[in-house]
Amino acid sequence: MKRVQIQDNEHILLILHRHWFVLARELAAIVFMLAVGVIAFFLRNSLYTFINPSFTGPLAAFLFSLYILLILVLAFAMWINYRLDVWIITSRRIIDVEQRGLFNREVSEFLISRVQDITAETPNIITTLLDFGNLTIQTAGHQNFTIREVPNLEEAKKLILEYSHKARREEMQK
Amino acid sequence: MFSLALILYLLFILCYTAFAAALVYHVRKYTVPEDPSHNLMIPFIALSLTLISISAYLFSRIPWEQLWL
Repeated sequence: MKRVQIQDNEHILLILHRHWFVLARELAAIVFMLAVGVIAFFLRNSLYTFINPSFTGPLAAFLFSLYILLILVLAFAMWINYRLDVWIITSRRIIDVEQRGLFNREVSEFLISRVQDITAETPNIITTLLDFGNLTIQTAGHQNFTIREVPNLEEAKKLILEYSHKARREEMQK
Repeated sequence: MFSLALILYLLFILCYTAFAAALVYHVRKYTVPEDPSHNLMIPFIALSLTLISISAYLFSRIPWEQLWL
């Protein structure tokens, strides 16, 4: 599965990524790991009473460099996971690209004309203050479809409903 | 001890390279050219190479002959 293909007779209305707060929340773990690593590195002097400092010094520096490498790759993986989780709303379809892990990717889509009802939800104080939330879409003959932790809820809701009505009118005219 | 440490270190670098290559592959294959991930790819590779070089240097500075374990 390569990049999402857009058909000739459709155009992209909105691309939704998760809110930046979701990324910041995940990166907080990285910052914590980094802080623990730095503290451990500078506390290595306390080991010198037990082990030869001429050996532990260079060993600690070496292990610390590997730890920083590990943190770098984890941070980049988090960023990619964040960017590859995307919802594309086009004039004909809603495409959900979900990156569950580095090698676990799921792409699902449904016709915008099948949208029946949309619920925008801002579930807690943080989502209210930062203006993001969940969008639950009910489709004809399908289960509920939830777009989680995205900004521009009202704009997305309005667009989807507008193009859903439009698509249904076109289908009825045919 | 030095041989074992060298094997473990090379194994770590091999795994790191494979994982980093997979990340770069994902950016190139699944994101649109306008995505900001493309701008982060070169700094990520450069930083990785720098840190790998530093770690190799630090590995060579460890006095393995002093280890009595």
